[in-house]
Amino acid sequence: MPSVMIVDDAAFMRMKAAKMLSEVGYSVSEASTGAEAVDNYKAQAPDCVLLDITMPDMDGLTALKQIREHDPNARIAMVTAMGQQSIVMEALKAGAMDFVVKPFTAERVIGAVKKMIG
Amino acid sequence: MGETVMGVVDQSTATSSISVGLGEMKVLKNTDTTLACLGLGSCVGVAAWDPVARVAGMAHVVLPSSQGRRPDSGAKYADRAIPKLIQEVGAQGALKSRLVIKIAGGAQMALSSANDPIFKIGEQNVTAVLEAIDRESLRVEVKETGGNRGRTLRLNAASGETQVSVAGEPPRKL
Amino acid sequence: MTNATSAASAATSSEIWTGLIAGGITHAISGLGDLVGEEVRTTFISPRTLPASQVNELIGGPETDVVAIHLGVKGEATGHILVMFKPATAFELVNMLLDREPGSAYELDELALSTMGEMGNVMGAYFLSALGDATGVRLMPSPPTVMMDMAGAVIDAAVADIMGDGDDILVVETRFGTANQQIHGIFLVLPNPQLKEVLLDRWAKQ
Repeated sequence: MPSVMIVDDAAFMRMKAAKMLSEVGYSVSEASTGAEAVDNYKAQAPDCVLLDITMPDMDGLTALKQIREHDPNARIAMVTAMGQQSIVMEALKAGAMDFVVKPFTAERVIGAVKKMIG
Repeated sequence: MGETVMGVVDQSTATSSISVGLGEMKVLKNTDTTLACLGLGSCVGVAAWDPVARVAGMAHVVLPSSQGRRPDSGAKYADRAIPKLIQEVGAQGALKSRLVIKIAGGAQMALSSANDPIFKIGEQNVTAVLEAIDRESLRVEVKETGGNRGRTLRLNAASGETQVSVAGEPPRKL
Repeated sequence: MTNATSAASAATSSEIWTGLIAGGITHAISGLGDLVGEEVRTTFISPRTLPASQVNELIGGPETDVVAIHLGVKGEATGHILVMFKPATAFELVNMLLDREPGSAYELDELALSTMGEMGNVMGAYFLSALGDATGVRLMPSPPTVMMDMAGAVIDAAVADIMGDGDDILVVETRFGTANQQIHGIFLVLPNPQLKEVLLDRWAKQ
């Protein structure tokens, strides 16, 4: 079962995304800060990551760079309400494979995961 | 006059009340009027009363220190507000040695994690107000500070009675 | 002559500011609409300058009970955003977003706090993204902090931060609601003075 790590400081958003993905058969783990995401990635090596940007204790852009430094092949999609173009560009340049603007639909979240790990 | 709630005159329904806004200071002499700092969060309300001269003063302190800031006219900064409050009640005949000082406020209002430095202002305000009062060789009679609830502080300028209230509860004597 | 010229350019920068703000707010309100799955409309926008001593008189007076979500504005300039609701409205919003029966939430437990926080995050991020796209200025919200208390008490720390720079406070007050007004609230922006300057400056250079 392919594994997805959902990183968001809002329990509400983790719950929504986890429900959408587990219903279609993905194995889901969760982290609530950027720092936790980096640690969990190193320990668990999930197949892909959905990563929020605005979080306490390390933001998502920093976490993206640190995870990609640890694993240059890490498959990461940003999932954030911050849809500003300069932020989208920065994330894509740093190796994000997709950029989902919140609030999201199930189709969009599942689509992002499929794009990363098929 | 106000209604009696739990043996305390409820000054919130007194005939006349003057709101002391953010960074303001007001002084009254022997008047049946209530001075009030409404909805104090991180701000600190300072009430000063001379029971002999019957002079009441109240300051609504917003920030701890005026260092590096533009001079202000009122009570915005703790370090300026305390000396100024003593001076202004003094101008109405209050004696420093007779002043009864009570303070309320300085809360940290977050229910979830406090994610901005502004949530430290309350604690800093309380410390700065206490230090400024100490520098005047005065002491605080009663204080209700800190915690995570907003407060209203009232001081009646005829009786000197002070009250504090929090959301959803009747006022209490301070 | 000089007076007339400066008055004309002042009017222009005020119009640009109002336009930028209105664009940001429209985007923020649409974000809330997407989240609740209903059309949300802006019913009132007022950018104005108030004496700081009066700011806590907003939202129906300093002792009015509210639920508020605070977001700090970070990046090239700073400020504060507060999204405020009557407590009963906030509980209904939580019920809607968690697909619960109306009337079932009556307190802000951990999941409800997170739901309110995320709602504020979406509105604040949409607002700042629109300002950023229009001007090129990078602005980000801090993670949200939820409060429930008297309006004066939930707003005064943000006002205090801005009062360090002066006694007048720039306030952008927006009221919004669903068509049936089941959900309605206030979106309050308190920019530090340099936030307005940076946005206008960069807008002119674009």
